[in-house]
Amino acid sequence: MDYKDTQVMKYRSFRVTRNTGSPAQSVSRQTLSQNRRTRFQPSEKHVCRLQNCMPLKFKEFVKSHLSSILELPLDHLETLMISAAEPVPQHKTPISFSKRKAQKQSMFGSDLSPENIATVLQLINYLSQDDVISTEGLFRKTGNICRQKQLKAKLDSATLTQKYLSSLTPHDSANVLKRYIHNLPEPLLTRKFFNLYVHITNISKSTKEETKSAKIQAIRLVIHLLPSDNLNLLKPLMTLLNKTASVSSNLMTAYSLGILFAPHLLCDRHSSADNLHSVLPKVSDLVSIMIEIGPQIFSIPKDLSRSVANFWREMEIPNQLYYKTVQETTDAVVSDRTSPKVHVVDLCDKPTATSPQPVPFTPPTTSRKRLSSDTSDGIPEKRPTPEMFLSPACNVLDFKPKLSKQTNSIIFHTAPVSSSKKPVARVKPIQHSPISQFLKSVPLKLQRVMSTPRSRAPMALFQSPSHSVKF
Amino acid sequence: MISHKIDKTVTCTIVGDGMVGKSQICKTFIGDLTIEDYEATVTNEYSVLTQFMGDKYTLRIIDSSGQHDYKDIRTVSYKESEAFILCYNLSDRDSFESIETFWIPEIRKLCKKTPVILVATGKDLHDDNENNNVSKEEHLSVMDKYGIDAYVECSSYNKDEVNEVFEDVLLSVIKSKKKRRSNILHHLLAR
Repeated sequence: MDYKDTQVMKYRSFRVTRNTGSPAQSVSRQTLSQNRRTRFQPSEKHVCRLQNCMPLKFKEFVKSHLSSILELPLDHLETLMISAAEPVPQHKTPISFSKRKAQKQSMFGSDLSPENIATVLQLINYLSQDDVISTEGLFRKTGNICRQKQLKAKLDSATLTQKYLSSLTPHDSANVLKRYIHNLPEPLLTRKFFNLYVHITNISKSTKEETKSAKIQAIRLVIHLLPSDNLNLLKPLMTLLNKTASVSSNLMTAYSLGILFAPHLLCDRHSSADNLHSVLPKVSDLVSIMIEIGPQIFSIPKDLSRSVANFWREMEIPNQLYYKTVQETTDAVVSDRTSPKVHVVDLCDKPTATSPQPVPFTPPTTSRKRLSSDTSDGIPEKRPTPEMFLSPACNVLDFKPKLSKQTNSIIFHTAPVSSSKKPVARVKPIQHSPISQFLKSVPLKLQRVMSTPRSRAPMALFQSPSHSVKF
Repeated sequence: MISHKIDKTVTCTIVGDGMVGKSQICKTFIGDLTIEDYEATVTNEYSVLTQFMGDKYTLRIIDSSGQHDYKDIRTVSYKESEAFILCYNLSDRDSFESIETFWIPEIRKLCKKTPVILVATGKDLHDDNENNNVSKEEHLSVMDKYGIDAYVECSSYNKDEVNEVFEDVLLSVIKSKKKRRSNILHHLLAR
């Protein structure tokens, strides 16, 4: 049977991907086996590249985007995830040895693995046939429990045939599929992000459409944080559910499907009933949104791809900062967060360049200068960004390390220093840095004190009001 | 004489497979006759004031989810309910079979003596030719086997038939209360 052959092919493709190991590869392979071969959009290419080379960095991007959508500070977002990732309080029921053995073999209740996904795909493929999917009350009616047990046994022993499947009612296979998802030790959308999902449901914007689109954006981002195995199963499943909702003759709406699948896909297996009760209506709404958009939920949000592309550009030409692009996307918080906050420390022309100063002033400047007084950990770490000075004529920063007179100090074009006293170093504020904004509002007298990096005490004085200043 | 003073609130839970028409029974009983799309229920609660045998009762109806996996949420209300309405669809054989394999074990696990009323919905859809249909002998044998108090055949959209269901509920609740009281009396007398 050619049906069986395709199954075998799929199974093999899973095998191969497992050997190669790379998670992203297996994802792309999965999509290839599911759909026809599609070329990556350039934006997608950027994202995939980041995902492969720097998975952590990619996650950082996603998280910062999420925090901007959810209007949550980044630290809070992290705590949301961590708190959910605590070990599960497991209610262990005593199992006799003979039973334990039997349980180990069963794919129901074991972790997600490519083999298991391949077997479940058989069910999904069967269910997405046109005559099957139009069955009334698919996924909602319970079917026959005895027949479902037989089907489970067949799945476990990998002796499932198309003929056998069609001898059952569609409800049976639909329920076995549901049961498999339900029995996964970790929900498919992972317990780690559960609190996040709840947060997403609480998004509210002025209009309904805006709320919905914001929710969709957030879901898309969270989905990119999921492990690849989960995605492998989630993609065909969402396609199937989307198709089910689109067929009207089965009387299943996306809303109903959301209610049916929310506890399987999302909810913690161990949370109390009261907790579930309060959360479920919201969460099922979320799932129904996911089902409504279907496979599109796996596409990469535009904002993300844009900022990732920016990131690559910065990485490739480290000496050129694209101020224009940064300024264009200031509405996306990320670009601000990730792009380095450069404070140009320019040393006064007169003291350093002309007269050889005593030791503490000039030579250590290279080591002592601060790129920024703020922590800027979003910078491409490995490459030390040299001091830059924004020349007013062109957009490109020119970088002029004049190594004059054997001193180590780097000399820049200097801004006219109007101060009567000579500061050792002076921070020249860049327009959009929050600190420089803050500096502007400070009286001139204090400004001078603050701009000398050594004077710690007056800085401390100013720290408490600085919290109240809105950047 | 045993006084007939009873609590006037009666709580009952409607259980049964998905898509047999549980929510529709509730709606019809309330008087909401709008026909809507089939939508799955998580839980719903209705309070209805009714008159039965000269007394006024507040019926609290808990409409539960028919999904077997919603067990945790469903069973919360089991303890407080005084009667169960167990539904199946006449033209859906699977829903009848899962009564025996799933619903009665689940109910009896938590509530050993609560009266259960068997309701066959979809009387209007009943079609004698079909293989799927449930025969009378079958439900009678189930009733005997599990000690089910009453059996009603109805259509979820027919108000009179639905009313009959809830009359049966009240009747069996009153009966079981009497029984329990007399049991306590017997118990005390035997000492």
